[in-house]
Amino acid sequence: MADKIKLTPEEARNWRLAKLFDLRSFIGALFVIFGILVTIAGLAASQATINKAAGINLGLWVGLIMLAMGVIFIAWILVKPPAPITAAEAEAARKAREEFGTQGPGGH
Amino acid sequence: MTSLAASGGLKLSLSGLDVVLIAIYFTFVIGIGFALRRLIQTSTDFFLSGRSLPAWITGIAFISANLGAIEILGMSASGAQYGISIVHYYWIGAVPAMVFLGIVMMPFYYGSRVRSVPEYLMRRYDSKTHLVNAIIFVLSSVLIAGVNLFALASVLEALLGIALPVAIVASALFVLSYILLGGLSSAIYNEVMQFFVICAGLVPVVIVALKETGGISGLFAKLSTNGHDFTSAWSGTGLGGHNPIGDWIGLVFGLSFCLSFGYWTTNFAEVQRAMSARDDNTARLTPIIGAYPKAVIPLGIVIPGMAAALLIPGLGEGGGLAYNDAIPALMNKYLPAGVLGVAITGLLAAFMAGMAANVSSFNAVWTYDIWQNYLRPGRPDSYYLRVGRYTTVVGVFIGILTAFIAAGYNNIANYLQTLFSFFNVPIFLAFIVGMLWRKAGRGSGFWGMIVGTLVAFGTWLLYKVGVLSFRSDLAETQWGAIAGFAAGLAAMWIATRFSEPKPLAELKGLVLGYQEVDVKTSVRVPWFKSPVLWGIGALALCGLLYLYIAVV
Repeated sequence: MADKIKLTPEEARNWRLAKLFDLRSFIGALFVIFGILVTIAGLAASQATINKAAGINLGLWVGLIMLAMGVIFIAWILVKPPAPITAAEAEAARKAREEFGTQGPGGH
Repeated sequence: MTSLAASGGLKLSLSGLDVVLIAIYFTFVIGIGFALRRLIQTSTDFFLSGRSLPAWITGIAFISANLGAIEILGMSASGAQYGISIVHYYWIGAVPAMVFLGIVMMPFYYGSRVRSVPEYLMRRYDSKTHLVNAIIFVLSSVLIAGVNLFALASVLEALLGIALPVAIVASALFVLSYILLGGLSSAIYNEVMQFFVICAGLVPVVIVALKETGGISGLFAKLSTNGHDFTSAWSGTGLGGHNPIGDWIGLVFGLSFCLSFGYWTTNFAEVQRAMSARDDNTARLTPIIGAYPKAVIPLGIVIPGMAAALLIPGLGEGGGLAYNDAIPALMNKYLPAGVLGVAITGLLAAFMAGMAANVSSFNAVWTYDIWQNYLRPGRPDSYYLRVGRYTTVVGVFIGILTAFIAAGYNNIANYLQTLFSFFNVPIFLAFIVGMLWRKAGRGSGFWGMIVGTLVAFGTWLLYKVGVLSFRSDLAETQWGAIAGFAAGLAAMWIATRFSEPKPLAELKGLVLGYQEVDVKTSVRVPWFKSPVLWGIGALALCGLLYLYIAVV
C-alpha cells in the first residue's frame, strides 16, 4: 500500500465521493434513523401493543438494538476510514473507463 | 393450483410509521444508485463494497443473497408443511455439499485458473457443452427470477390489497426501474443492507413465536397431534414409511448427493466468489466457513414455519392462507407497528435483490456467453453494453411470465427443488464425471446434460399426469434427480465410446491425477487453517444439531 500514486483532479474528486459513499455510512445512517423511529414507537407502546407480541415490548428492544448497531457502524467508519486507493486500483479504474466509456460497468 | 385464490387471504395491516420506514429504505436504495450514477461516472464505485467491509460480512451477505429471500419464505413454508424433517435440506444437504465443494472440487476450479464455471466446461469438454450449459443456465435464471418476483408480488398484494396479477406487473416495473436507475453499485449496496434489515425483522418473529408456543420442546409437544413424523426428522423415512419428506434412498442420493451437491458445487455466485480468493487454501476454506451459518439457519427458518402451523389457523388448507404466507402471517400477527415496517422492508428488499441478481446473471450469460460467443461475435464493447440493457428489460418481462408459474405452487420451495432437479443435477453430473474420470470424451458432457435434463423433466411429467406416483412433490424431485443423474451418467459413458478422448495436454489442471499444485499452498498450511479439519467440524455440528432436535 506504500506506493503513492498521482490522481488526476477528477479522480481525486471521485475518490472523495467514493469515501463518502462507503457502505458502512449507509448502513449506519439507515439503522440510526430506523432505530430512533422504532424506539419512539416502543416508548409510546400501549399495553395492547405489548400484549400482541406475547408480552414483550418488541418496539423498544428492536429499536434500541438497531440504534446501537447504527452507532457502531458510524463509529467504525470514523475509527477506520477506507484505505486510500492503490496504484493498481487506479489503473484498473482507468482501464475500465476506457473500455466502458463514462458509464462504468454499472451501465449494463 | 389453489394458491392464487388462497394467498389473497393475507392482509397486512400497516400503520403510518411502517409505511414511512418502507419509504425511507427505498429512497435510500434508489437514491444511492441515482447519486452514484450522476456523481461518480467512472468505475470507482465498483470497488466500494469490496473494500469497506471485512470478508466475513460480505460473505454472510452473499450467502444470504443467493437463495436467502426465497429460502425464508420457501423453507418456512416447508417447515409448516412437512415439519422438522425439512432440516435434512441443510444437515445432509447444503452443509455436506459446501464441505465437499471446499475439500474435493475447489482444487480443480482454482488449480485450472478458469475464470467462470461455464469456462471449466468449455475447456474440459467442447463448445457444444458450454453452449448447452449456458442455455440451461439462462432458462433456470429466468424461472428463478419468476419465483422472486412472485414472492415480491405476494407481499405487495397483502400490503395494498390488489389482485396478484396486478401486483406481479407492478413489482416487475418496480424492479426494472430499480435495476435501470440504480445499476450495479446500488444492487451491491442493497444486497448487503437487506441482510441486516431482514435479520432485524426475522429475529423478533422467531423469539415471539417460540415464546407463544413454550420454546422448542413446548412447540414439539403441541405439534405431536400432527403425528410423530412431523416432529422427528428420521421417523417414517423407511421404504415403507409415510413421512412426506421422502424415503432414505431419496434423501441420501436424491436430496443430498444429486440436488444439494448439484446446487452448491456448481452455483455461479458461490463458486465465483471462492475462485477469486487470494490462494488455493482460502478458496477451499470459503465455502466451508459458509457452511457454519448454513447449519444454524434452519433453527431460525424451519422452527418458525412449524410454529406457524400451530399459530396461524387454516395455514395450507383449502380456503386458508398458502404455506408461502407462513412468515408474513406471523409477522402480521405478532409484530407491533414499527418493527412490522422493518420486517416488511426486509422482505421487499430481499426479493428485489434476489430478482435483480437473477436478472443480471441472465443478462451476463445471455449477452456474453451466448450472444457474443455464438450469435454476433466481434462487435465493439458499446454494442454488447446496449444488448445487455435490452436483455435486462426482456429478462424482467420473461420474469413476469414465469412468476405466474410460481404462483401456482402453494409452497415455492417444492417448485424450486423441481427446477433444481431439471437444471442443476445434469450440470453437476458433467462436472463431477469430468473431474474424476479423465477418459470422459469430448462430446460426453453435452450428451450427459441433455439426457439428464430430459429424463428429470420426463419423470416430473409422468408424475404430473399420474403414471408415476411418489409420496409427495418433494419425494418426486429426489427420485427425478436420481433418475436424471443415472440416465445422464449412462449417456456420458455411451458418448465416450463414440467420441474421441481429449488429449492429456488439454486436460492439465482439469482432471484427477493432473491437478496443478498451487505454489502458495505447497507451503505448509497451519493446522487451524486446514479445510479438512474445518469441514469435519461443520459435519460434526450437523450431527450435534440432529441429536439436539431428537432429544429436545
